[in-house]
Amino acid sequence: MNTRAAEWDRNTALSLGVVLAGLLLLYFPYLKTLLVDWETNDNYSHGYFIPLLSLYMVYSIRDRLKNLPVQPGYWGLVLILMGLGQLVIAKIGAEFFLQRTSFIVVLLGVILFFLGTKYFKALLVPVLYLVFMIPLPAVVWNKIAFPLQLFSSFLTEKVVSLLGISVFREGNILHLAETSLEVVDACSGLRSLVTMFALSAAFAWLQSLPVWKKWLLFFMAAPIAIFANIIRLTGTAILASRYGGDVAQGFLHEFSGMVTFFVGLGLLIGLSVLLGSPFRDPSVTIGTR
Amino acid sequence: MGQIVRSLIILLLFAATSVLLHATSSVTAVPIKKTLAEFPARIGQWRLIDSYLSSSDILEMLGVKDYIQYNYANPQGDQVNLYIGYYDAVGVTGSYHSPKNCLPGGGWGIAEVKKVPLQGDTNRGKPVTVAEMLIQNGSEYQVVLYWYQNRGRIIHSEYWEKVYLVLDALFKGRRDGSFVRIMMHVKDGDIQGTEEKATQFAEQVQVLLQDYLPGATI
Repeated sequence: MNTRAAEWDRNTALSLGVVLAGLLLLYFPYLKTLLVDWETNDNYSHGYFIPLLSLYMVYSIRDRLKNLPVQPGYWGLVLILMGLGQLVIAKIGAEFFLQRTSFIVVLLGVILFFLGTKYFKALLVPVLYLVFMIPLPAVVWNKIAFPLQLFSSFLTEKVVSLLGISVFREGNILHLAETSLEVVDACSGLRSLVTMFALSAAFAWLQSLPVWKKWLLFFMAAPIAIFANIIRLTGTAILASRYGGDVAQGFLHEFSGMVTFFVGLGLLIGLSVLLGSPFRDPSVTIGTR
Repeated sequence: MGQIVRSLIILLLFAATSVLLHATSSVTAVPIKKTLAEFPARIGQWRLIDSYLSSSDILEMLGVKDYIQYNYANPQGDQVNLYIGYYDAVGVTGSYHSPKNCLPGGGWGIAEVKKVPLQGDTNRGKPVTVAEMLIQNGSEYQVVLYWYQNRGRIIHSEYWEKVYLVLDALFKGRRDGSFVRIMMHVKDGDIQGTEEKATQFAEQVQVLLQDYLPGATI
């Protein structure tokens, strides 16, 4: 079967449709709670966009997908079994992250089992992209957020004192002449880091760039998020030194998150344009991945 | 093998998984041996001074079956806060909330995390280790000790707690467990002294608690 390429036929479409419906049915209880998370967990309010972006990624390569040969692969069955095993174990262990990510494993297994390696490779990134919609376990999140919080406070202290405002830092607290600011979890930069990675991954995928430039664009999300966050914290500190802590705290929690996001987005767009058109490598064909 | 056969195989696998998921969630709940409300009001030189009841919202969120939150004081005027929560089926009726997740929300940041050894023989003959956090809010500090006391084990790590939960649910059909947390304010910046007092208190608590919890065997 693997050697003889079959074409898309009615049976393939029908079988795949039924299996995908079954997959969604099986995972419904584990995925529906994601909606609650996106609404209540500020760190994952971008979650709504991820499935849509993933679908758009698939849509963007639809022409190529149509022409790929269907070569069902038995390794897909192994992947499906692994994913389902992960679901059962994660359910017993009451571990949400593993329950939800097992959906991605099973979905990849279904693609490999029904459509084969070529489709698996073509759809790997759009399917893996769904990981961005699943909140990290809180224990892991806090483990990363706390050092990032300290790092952000440290850098902000340097920038603020360079601007000639006297500041004294004690852990995550920035003491200014008039008031003190605490760099809390929300300003750790991890929130913008996750969102920036989700964005840069989509950018890297949708742009036709050489593979190394795609990876570069993807990983530049980290410095961009940190930079945007420093701007946010520094701006807040400047405001606090001028207009007092209350204004700054209000600003910090209402408005500056948006500023961070748009600064980051602008930098990402700038970078992808820079990596793209002016230095375009003529040997690159569109949609190499 | 045609696509239809493939889809039938997969649908059968999904159905089997669904049955398995239902079978594993109907693990029998193991009730606590003795209600925690009877936990001693005197522990060594510590005396119970007051107790809180959390609001029903919080209890519902925690899904806890039995719990106490007691404050003890010693003759030197130190105070220690003890929380014990018991779940008869972790992950089915409710689940632990690690202080690593909850505390930083309340203005308290984690300044240090480490493991501390305790004296005693409450961990199936293995050395007893619990988790310690030093938390900070401005210039104030608190020492927090916590551990999971489950099915005859003392576990300090959130990750190992999950591993044992899966193993015991699979092989013993048990998911009962308790979470214990001890908090003490640091007075006069004496972090080390506070750690020592909290550790000694913890050693007594985990031995006493063995009478209340179902052990390695029910």
